Amino acid sequence: MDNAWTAQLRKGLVELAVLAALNGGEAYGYQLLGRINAFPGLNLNEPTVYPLLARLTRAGYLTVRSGPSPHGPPRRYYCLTESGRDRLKQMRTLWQTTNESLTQLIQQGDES
Amino acid sequence: MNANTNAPMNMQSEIYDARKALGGYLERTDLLLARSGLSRSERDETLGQISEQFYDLLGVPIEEADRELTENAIAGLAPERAFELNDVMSTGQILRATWYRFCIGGIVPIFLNDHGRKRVVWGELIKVLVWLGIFMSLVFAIINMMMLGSPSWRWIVSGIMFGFMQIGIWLRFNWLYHHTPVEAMPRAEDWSAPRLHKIRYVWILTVGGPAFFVIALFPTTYWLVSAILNRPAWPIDNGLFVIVSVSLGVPLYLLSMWDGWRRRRNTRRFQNWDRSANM
Repeated sequence: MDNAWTAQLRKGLVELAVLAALNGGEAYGYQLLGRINAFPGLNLNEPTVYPLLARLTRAGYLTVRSGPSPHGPPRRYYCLTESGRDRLKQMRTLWQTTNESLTQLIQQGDES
Repeated sequence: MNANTNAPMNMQSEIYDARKALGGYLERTDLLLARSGLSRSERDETLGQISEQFYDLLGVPIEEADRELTENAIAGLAPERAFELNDVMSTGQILRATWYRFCIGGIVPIFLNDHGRKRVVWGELIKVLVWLGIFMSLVFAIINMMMLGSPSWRWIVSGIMFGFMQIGIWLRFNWLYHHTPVEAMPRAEDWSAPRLHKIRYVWILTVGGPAFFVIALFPTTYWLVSAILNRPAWPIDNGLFVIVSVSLGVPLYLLSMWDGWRRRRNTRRFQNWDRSANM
């Protein structure tokens, strides 16, 4: 598999993955990584996800609150805002349409 | 393996190691993120998340963490090189990355890797320096057009010379730095980012600064001012010489003071943040 193509594909989907993972409830960074990487094939790492959390927060799609940690400093929990939910909805619609169309196109090619 | 409560002396040194290990990892990561053009707030946010992850992986309060636990926790974090991001998300990021690489001495990232060898990205150095030369030439051509109404070959040539002299200075500076014996350089884990910045800054001030001022900036400015005032550039006019020296020296001094202050402030912020992260 072409690494560049894979990287580009993943890059485009990171934001959707993060928003979708947070749709299940608030999470702190490492917890969020675990939530995403529980699904085979996603394999997102810290350098990709952590700066994105900062960007999404600045853009108003996420809010942050501090919560206690058993050993370390207070954890920062991220939660979707209304604006974040709207963005997720738009992205999900676009992704589903694209996915369905692409699947049909591939199937059509296989059948012919 | 947890630290034994019966060995307080040994525990003291192990506590220091755990904090130092996390601090070293965060400093190097911060350097790489800054080189990638992330803003201070994005870097702080990222470093905060990494710190949280470290404590999760550690599984015990840092006061009880020994070297083995600490090393395991560090190994559970992403490799530092992974933070050398290539994704460009905004124009601001490009500008920050360019500014950082130009001013903070990140043009040539020289580190000792895990095998104790220096790693220099020469391709990146050449690319940045060529762009710098071209950019400075263009700047001078534009200034010339704005001040004199039309470009003249003299100013274009001086701009090109100015730009490419910087390339020469930087190449020389980096050549010197590159040829420092490996034995004389600490290993990466002992060489924190602020220390690296400091040493580069001293080099820039002692070698690059005077060379840049004497060889390139001063004659070019003197030439420019003499042309604007319609006075001969040669023989040197004492009054003009003093005016140009002061008008260049004072802003450069203030700039270096400001840069030093900014650097110290960032280091302090980072240290405070690191300390608060360990509370």
